[in-house]
Amino acid sequence: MRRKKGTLIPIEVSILQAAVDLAMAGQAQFHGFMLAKEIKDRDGAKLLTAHGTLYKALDRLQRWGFLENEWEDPVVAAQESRPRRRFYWITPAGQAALAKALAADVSTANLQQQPGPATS
Amino acid sequence: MSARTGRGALDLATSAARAWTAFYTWRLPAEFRDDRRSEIECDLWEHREFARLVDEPAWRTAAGLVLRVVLGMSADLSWRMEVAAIGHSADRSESMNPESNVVRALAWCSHILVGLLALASLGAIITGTAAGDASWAIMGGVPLVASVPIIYGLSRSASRQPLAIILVVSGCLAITSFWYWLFMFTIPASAGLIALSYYRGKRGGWRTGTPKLSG
Repeated sequence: MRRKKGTLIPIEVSILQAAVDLAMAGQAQFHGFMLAKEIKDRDGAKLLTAHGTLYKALDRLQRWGFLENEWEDPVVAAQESRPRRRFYWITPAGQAALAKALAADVSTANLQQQPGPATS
Repeated sequence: MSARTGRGALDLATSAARAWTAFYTWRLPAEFRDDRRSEIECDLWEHREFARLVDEPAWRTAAGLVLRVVLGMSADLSWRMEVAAIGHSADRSESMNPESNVVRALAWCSHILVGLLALASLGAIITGTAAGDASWAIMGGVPLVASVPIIYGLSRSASRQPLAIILVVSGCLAITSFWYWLFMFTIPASAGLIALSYYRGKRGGWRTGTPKLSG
């Protein structure tokens, strides 16, 4: 998908929105699969977000400072006999970017709902 | 589908996801490569674990996994290009050698073409040997031997000059002189390979691959 300058593409908005939803549900830190599941449940999608799409977007959001991340302590993962998780959380800059993207969406939707000029 | 077949399909899908991740992260800077591989490994584990908890049939989980891999392939490849560009710009401070995607693609295509030539030569040797015709074995043997320095030289042309260009030139000369009647193909192809290896070496600052000790 081609990006308009200074805007977020839908997968990035979905990730930030899911991050906020998870934080409000008491899960401020999340890993990739948890996020994919949250997006699927929220959007009512049939499929989980593809690996490439999800992790590429996470990488970008993190480089822009909208998400922070930290690898889990390997000892904890070893105790639970599973691979190490990489936890992400949304930053204030990410929240601001999300708010801006949602506001832009609302104003676009409002413009589309307005009746056009009479052409008769 | 039986549970056993489903589990087999799930194991296969997991292995395919790992293999794909290993493929597109191959030769990336270690920090990007290891992070992505670990992250996918974690995702695969979480996905399987979640499917087990909700009693999802294994074949369905396998299909979901394969779809997640396949639908993300173009993003994986474009991520690789982005990350490789970041890696190259990090190298720039050391070597001032940002290699463009076009040059890299040309180098890959050249490797593939010379590799195909080597395979065809090997085929000629096998066919000739089976038919008891020594001339076919010689026809295949010379290009096969000559393709080795070309492939090695091309692969090292960005980092190890002038050895790389000497190898490419000698391999091309051997093929061009041995197949002299095909000069209308061999001469332009050789000129292209030599030019490519020269260009890559020039961009690389003609590094010899030997660290210079100071002091």
